[in-house]
Amino acid sequence: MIRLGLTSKLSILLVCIGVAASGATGYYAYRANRRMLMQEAERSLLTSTQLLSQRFNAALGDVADDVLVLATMPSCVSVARGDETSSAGRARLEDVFLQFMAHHPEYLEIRLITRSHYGLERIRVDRGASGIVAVPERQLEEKGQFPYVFDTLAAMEGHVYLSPIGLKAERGADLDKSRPAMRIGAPISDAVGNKFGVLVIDIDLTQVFGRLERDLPAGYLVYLANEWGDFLIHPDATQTFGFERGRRVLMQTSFPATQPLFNGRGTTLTFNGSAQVGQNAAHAFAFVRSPFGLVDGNRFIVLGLAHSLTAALAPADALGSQIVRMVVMSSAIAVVLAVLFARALARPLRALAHAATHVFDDSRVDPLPVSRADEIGVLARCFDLMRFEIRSQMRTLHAKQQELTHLAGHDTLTGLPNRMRFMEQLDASIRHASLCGEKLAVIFIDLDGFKQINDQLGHPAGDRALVVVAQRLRGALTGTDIVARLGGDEFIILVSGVRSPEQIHDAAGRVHTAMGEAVTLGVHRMTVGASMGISEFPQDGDHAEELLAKADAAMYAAKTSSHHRPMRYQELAANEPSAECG
Amino acid sequence: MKLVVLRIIRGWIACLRAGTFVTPLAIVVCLLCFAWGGTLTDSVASPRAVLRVLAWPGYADDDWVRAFENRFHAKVEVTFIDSDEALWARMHSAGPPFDVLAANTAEIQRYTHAGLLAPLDLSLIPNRLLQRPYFQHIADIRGLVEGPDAYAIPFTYSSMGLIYDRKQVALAPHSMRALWDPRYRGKVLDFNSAQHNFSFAALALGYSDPFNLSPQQMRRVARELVGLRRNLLTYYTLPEEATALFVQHHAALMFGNYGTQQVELLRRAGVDVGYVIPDEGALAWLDCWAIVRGTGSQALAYDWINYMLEPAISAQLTQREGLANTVSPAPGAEPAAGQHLVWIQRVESIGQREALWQRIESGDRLRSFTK
Repeated sequence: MIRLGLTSKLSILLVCIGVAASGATGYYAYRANRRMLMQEAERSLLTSTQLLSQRFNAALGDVADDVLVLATMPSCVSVARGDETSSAGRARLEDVFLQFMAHHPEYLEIRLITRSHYGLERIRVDRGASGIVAVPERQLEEKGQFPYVFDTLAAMEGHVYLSPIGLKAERGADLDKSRPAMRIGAPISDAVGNKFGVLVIDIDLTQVFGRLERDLPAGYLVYLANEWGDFLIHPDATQTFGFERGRRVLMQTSFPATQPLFNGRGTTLTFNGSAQVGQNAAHAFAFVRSPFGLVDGNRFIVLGLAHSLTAALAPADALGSQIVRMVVMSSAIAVVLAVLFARALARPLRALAHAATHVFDDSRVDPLPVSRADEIGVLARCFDLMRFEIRSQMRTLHAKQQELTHLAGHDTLTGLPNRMRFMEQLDASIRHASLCGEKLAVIFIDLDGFKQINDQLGHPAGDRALVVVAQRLRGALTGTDIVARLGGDEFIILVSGVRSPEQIHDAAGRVHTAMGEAVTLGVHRMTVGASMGISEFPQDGDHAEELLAKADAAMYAAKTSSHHRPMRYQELAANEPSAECG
Repeated sequence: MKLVVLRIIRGWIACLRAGTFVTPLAIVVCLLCFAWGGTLTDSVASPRAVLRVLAWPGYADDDWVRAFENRFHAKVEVTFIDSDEALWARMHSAGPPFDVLAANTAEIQRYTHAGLLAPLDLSLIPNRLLQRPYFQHIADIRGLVEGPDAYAIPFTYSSMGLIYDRKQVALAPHSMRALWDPRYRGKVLDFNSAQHNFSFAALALGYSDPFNLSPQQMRRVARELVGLRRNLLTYYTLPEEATALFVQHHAALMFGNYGTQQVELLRRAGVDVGYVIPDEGALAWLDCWAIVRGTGSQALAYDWINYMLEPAISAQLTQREGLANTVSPAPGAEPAAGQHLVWIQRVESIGQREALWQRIESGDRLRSFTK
């Protein structure tokens, strides 16, 4: 598994949050917009449907007015009664019917039917294949068995009968047998209210709706169902008048949402869905239940309009694609911002981590963000304080260590290197000199009057005298020469870079001069004096101990000699046989 | 104590964590089990005999089919048809052949003549003995027996009798001629159908074979039907429509094309109606079960027919569909002694009857029908 750093983790988290937030906002905006547009489309469709329903009722009202006008024509009663004098009136009425038919293309038939003679037709004007014709008397039929006759006769004077909507299939009116049609009839009555017959107009609803639909924009689907839900008008003509073919097609089956209209729960409804099973294009639907017919008052029709939502939802889709672009853009911005933010947050942390790993390497550490006011600033300040503490502690430790090292190699009283340090220096100088072919000399010094000072003036005075001697010896040295205190009143000097015996002699002479001066101790002035023995490298040996021992031996010889001059070991060695001999 | 609780909680969490792997695993195992079980049942089911039934809606309800399948360890495939034409088309269509079918007497005769049905061994249908004697004597029912062989067993029937309003018609009518009675002018309802109107009018006129009318009889019947029309309130098509008209217009008499079903509807609508089979007889259809010739599942087909005659099935048929069965006497629907039902048969010329009927129904005057 890949181990992700804080920056990556934080970046991914922030990107996810950003993308999810913008995506969700975009999606819900799209949905809300779409829903709003759909509702709007449904609302406007419902208005159209209500308008269509009103116009349909108004159209039927116009026909009803025509029926009433015709039924109250003066000659109607006499023709219906079959009076002997009615033939002239019959001809006139026939002419009027023909005129009405000519002016109303949706009228299929206008008939005057008498109540007597089993409802025999007295006048029938048909719209046939060959145009509008008045049917000859011998072809007229008895219509008393049809509801539009007996129900119209039952209607009150001045009222009309509206038949259920059916297929126009009656013989004699075979212009188009599968057309939805209905009949509107009015009773013909005399002045005292006796009914003698009925006047019936058959209307072609296809034409009525055709005219109403012309006012609708294109693309509307019209549905009409009777009170049981049988489709009377449907975009797919095979779905209409199913009951005539023994196979009912019901609106509440095709559109289950319309069920409440048929149960009397509500008179309008809108919904959206597909116009046909298996069809994807969404449509908005609006259905209106409106009362129909005047006979028993509780009949109704359900009129519906459907319109494709594709056009209505086009703005939603446009907005959708715009939202997608915006979401993509804002996601990209979120990615950049997330990376930047994560980096900004992680940088001071990385600086702190780097500082923690390089506490003692000042040059390589970036400045810490101590000035920040947030938690990182607090952390940085705490860390800075901690680093300062560590450093100061380490410095103290170093100083102590140096002091200890110094103490280990120096005499505390005089500050001169001690024997151990001197021997190290001597070893190093011997190695160097033997490589370079140089010469060295070791001068062993022993103070002559020190015991006297100690005894007469006390140890503190002795110590002071030693300090003064040490200062003088240091002052008497030149170049790289070293002086050390071996212990007690013994000192030793290393003279390096010796080129001639005179150089050694000079050094011994300077020491001798320095030792010869009196030392002021309080009110006393004391002459210390010193005996010196000199050994030389490489002549007297090539080891530090050997050179020291030989210088010591030479010093001892000098001390015991009478003239108190510095004694070279070589001199001692040259005199030795004689001494041994003497 | 606290520690114990902590341990229990940890244990839970561990279980839950394990569950995240166990649950999908369990689902997969279950699905595999189902798949395995499914193949097992399939392998068991495949040798089960299949019975293919061709019937009308209501003749083979799901619960009956399931009970039959369980009892006879068989699989039943029911195909429903809604017209005689569809039945004929199904029998002649490609695909697995049917084993048993239900059809009315006229159609049975047609299928027998076409050699599509197998002669029945009546001893294999013991429940026949439960049927009312009238339906046991199948030789008396035209179309079911051909020569020495029986070809179909009656299952359900419906008569087309006379419905009358007991309040307006004090005495139960004895004949369909009551429909012509001028006392009831404008209070009579008739069914809008060419075949049945001609047949029952012919019966009422006393013609011996109402399904084969001579030209003269045909002319006579047509004129009678014009007379009937003049006595009518109107024609109806659907039983519900007839009920509405009957109630709304206080009809007195009605030709009951849907028989007892219609009586039931009217009684529910609150009308006190009576139902009579006229003395001259009433048209009736009788649906019978028959076995297709050459079927591979003959034994099962006999079982099916026998099963269909069980009292429980018969009772449910009457209860659910309102149709009379051949086993238990249905009150008010029983062809009592002396009443006879004339099982409908194919008529001499559908076209001629239709053409005449269209003129009659439309209102053509009597003078245009020749004597």
